[in-house]
Amino acid sequence: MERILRASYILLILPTIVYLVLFWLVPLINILIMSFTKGESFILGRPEYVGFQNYIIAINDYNSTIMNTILFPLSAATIDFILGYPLAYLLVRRKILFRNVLRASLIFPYFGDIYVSYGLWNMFLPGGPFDWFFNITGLSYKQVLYTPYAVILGFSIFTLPFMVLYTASSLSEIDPAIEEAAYTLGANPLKTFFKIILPLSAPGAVAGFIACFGWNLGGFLIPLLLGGVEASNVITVKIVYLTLQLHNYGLAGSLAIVLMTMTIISTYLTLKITRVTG
Amino acid sequence: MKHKYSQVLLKYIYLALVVFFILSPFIFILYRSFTYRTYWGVSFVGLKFYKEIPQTYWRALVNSLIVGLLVSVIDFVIAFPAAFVLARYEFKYKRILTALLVAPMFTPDIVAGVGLASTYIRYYGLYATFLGTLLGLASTSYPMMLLPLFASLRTLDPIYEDVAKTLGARPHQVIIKVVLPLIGPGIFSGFVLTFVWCLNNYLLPLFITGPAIDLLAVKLYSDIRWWGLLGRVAGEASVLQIATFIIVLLYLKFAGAKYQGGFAL
Repeated sequence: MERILRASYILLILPTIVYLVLFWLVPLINILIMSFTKGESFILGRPEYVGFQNYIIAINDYNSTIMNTILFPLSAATIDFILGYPLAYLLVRRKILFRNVLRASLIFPYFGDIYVSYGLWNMFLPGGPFDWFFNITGLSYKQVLYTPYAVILGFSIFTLPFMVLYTASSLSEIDPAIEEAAYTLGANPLKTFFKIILPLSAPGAVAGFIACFGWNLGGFLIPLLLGGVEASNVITVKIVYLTLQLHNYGLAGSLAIVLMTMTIISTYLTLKITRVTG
Repeated sequence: MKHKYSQVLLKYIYLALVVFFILSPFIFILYRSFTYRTYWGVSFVGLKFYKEIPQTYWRALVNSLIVGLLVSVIDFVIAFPAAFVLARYEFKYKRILTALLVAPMFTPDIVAGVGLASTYIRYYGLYATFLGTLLGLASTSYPMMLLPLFASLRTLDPIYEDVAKTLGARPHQVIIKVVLPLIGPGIFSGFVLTFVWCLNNYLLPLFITGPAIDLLAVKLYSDIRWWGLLGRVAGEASVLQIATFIIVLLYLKFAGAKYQGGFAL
């Protein structure tokens, strides 16, 4: 009986595994193979294997691209931490009016890669709400819009919800009694925060930080629109350019593998720290 | 007492600033779609830009809604048995398997797009087909269906299933008459998350759909790139944005926060 039951539930999970192998794992392996072939030979006709040549090109000619791909999300994750941690604390520990409005607005950027980039781009153009700022400082809008700062701003808006979600779930697991005990024993609020709350919520905050970083690694339209020519120098934009315009699929494949490696590492760390999946 | 009031004030100023920080791009697109700006100032134009949206866009919106719905159904059919097994049984390597099932969500769209396109062209023959689009979108949005189903099944007490079995219900009756109604909000969450994600995804269809079907997000993406300054584009963006917003509001109203799975607040 036990064995029949076991066989039956393995059968239940089988369709999922077959489907994900066919439509997730095979494409990834395909990219890996593609990254060792020359130009468009993998897509059209016979693959022409060139060894590690694509990776050597990727590391030599695209090192600034890879640096940017790491640096922009890291800066954005730092901003998210500074803005998001207090927000998570307020959500979990304090009474807030319009809590639902806050929750709705938090869920929204998650769907809106297009809107974040297009909206910010419109805001920075002349005639937008930042005109007064440019008038006062005497800056041109181009000194903000097509620079890394605009990309980082867009990234940080895009992933702020993740920071708040991860931190809040970690904070809500801390027993409020521990805080009260610290107050009763004579610790001031500042000391309670730094000695009790911050260390206890650190796993969530770190996981949120890495999750923000990981999600922004794959950001495409935000650097493309807000980064202009100079600051859109990130892997995703280069991959689209290499595939859809230059048809150099081999090089695009090697860059995709570099991106995927970074994503896998950050996802692994996030899951390890939070154990979201139980 | 005075100290407390200032603290509350500070709290709400902070919250207002953060909400403004998050929502400003979205609000400005809406504002932009109703106004026309020249060098001399801003004038209100009403629904002019919405009337300028070509007919093909409304057809693309319908296409997007149909594709989103079908993808959600595919995801549900595949994810429900898996979620049930993960929530009810213990077995070896379960943690690793769960991590692998969630992994597609963390795969950058661009990597999935290039991979799927090359696989479709070389092996499956699904490139630029309707079916290929559905299956490709479903594979990356799969965890968004799995996580809420898993979360709601795990919080559901197995005793209901045992009672139904004891009373003589067959396994499929237990699932259809007992389990599915009880995890309704979880299913709803999964459908909304998947649906909205598909509605707003432009990168994956850009690679795998080709010219086979017009999807609104893809049209919007190319319009933003080439005609970004036109008011019409702001109107198009607003249409998709409002559709998304309505769905998210319905979701928050009807599905409780505890069914958000990995996204629990």
